[in-house]
Amino acid sequence: MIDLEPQQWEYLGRYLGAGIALGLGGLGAALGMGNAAGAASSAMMRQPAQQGELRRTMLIGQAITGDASIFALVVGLFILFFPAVQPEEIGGNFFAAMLGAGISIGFGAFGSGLGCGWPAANACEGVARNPRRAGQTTQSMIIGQAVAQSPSIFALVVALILIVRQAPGTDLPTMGVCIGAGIAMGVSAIGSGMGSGQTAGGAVLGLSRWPKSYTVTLRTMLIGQAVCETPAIFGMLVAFIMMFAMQDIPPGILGFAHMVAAGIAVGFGGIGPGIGSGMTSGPACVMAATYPRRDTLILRTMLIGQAVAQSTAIYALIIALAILYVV
Amino acid sequence: MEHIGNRLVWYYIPFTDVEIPMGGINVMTVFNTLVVMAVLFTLCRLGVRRFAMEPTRGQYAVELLAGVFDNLVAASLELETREKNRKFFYLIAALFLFLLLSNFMSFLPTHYFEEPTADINCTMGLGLMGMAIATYCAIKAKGVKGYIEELMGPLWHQEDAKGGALIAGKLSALFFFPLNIIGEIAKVISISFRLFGNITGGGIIIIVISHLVWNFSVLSIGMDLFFIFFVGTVQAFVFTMLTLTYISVAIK
Repeated sequence: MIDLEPQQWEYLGRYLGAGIALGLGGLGAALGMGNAAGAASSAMMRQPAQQGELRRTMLIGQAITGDASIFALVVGLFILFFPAVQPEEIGGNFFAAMLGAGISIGFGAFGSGLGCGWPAANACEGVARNPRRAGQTTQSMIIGQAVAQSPSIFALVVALILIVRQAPGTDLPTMGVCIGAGIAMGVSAIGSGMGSGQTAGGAVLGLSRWPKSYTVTLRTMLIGQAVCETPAIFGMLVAFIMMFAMQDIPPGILGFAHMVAAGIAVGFGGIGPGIGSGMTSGPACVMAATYPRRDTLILRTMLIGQAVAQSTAIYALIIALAILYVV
Repeated sequence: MEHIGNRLVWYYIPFTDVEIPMGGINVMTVFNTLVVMAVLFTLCRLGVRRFAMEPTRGQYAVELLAGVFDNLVAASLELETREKNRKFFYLIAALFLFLLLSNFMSFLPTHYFEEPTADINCTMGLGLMGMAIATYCAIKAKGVKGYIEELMGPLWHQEDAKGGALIAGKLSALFFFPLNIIGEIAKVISISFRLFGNITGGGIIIIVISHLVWNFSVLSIGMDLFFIFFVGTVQAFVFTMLTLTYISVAIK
């Protein structure tokens, strides 16, 4: 067992947690914003007359993409400055809570930030292609991005709960709960954020070409995004079970291993299904905009494909629950 | 920050020693749910108070809303007659309006009005209701046998070259049946936790940002408008559309 002074534990947790939160949280949003700006630059060269409209669309898109990194900034400030409940009793649990919060919001904001870049980029291209429908394109972009932010909002909830519910002292099972919940929520949100972003990108792309199929495309997009977010919801479920509903955790290193293993199972198991569902529903949204009368067929095919893509996330959830309750 | 998740729970029946099973009743959620229902009922009642060919403003609003949902349900379910669609129209319209008003509730600046949808019990109940209705519709449309055979997976009806039943196809049900059952449960979890997470998260973000910016309250008002009205509307619509989609997948 590592033996440190309370103040050493405190500084270790605060610096490490804030670093992970801001480092990873900023990375995704920066990539997404760069994507949008690149698309806006090439679109501006194609339609120099529309530069005012294009600049406006780009800035709105980038501002909403930046929301994810603002969440990370808020949690980072909390990690650095939230007062310890019992300053003389700070131990490994405080360290683990801060680290878990940083992992949760860092990875969660990474996925959403990266995902929100696609609708922004496609909206810029769409405004250049169809300037008369710029308002509608921007509107669909905002709705898609707002839904794609959900995984990072879930990550923010888990991170703040971890920070507020910090326990005094040092014991391995509690440390495992904090780090495991952070990994479960944060890592599973990567795929969901990217998948929902890709879905919104497809919808914006389709709508800018066929603006009349607004209702059908928006409906397909919202359902597709909802399915893409399922892995992040599984991650949130496992994190909540760990934090609130675990009665008897095995003592010592065994309990630590249980918690972290369950977090890794549902967290990393959720990346693939999220991105894969996005690959299904992105083109489905483009097609729904192209052939709005066939929307039932497209929706059913998309749902079946996504259900199969989701099955690995369900396996991961089963394994995580088995680790928590059976083994 | 201490207000997060601070709710009034009755663990015992008032003035007695009888314990309430399942960990008590969330009185705040029940109260707010009833408030939303009362407001909704009053508004709709006032809208259609004097029904006329030449609609008043309220009647026009209610009719517009009803027309939107009627078309939405008809486009999603594609049943033969308008009457059959109408049955689901009541459910869908009521669900959406209830969720919408529930999500808007925390805009009232008092301590006692909180969104019922920020409580997992409320959203889980609505999700279970949607799933139960979808399962009922599936059993009604396909029969008990058809419904169970659908749970057995895609290889159940596989036949060999002579048209006899394939043993491997039947055995594959051992794999598909538990998976489909868990998939049905996962649907309820995902639909209810999505709404709960978004509404709770929005509330937490508003509290935290207001806490941090302190006197610069313009930003908090902007956050309010975005997280309560915009995200609330979108999530209410997503929940309603998912319930409708589950039903439409079940009956086809």
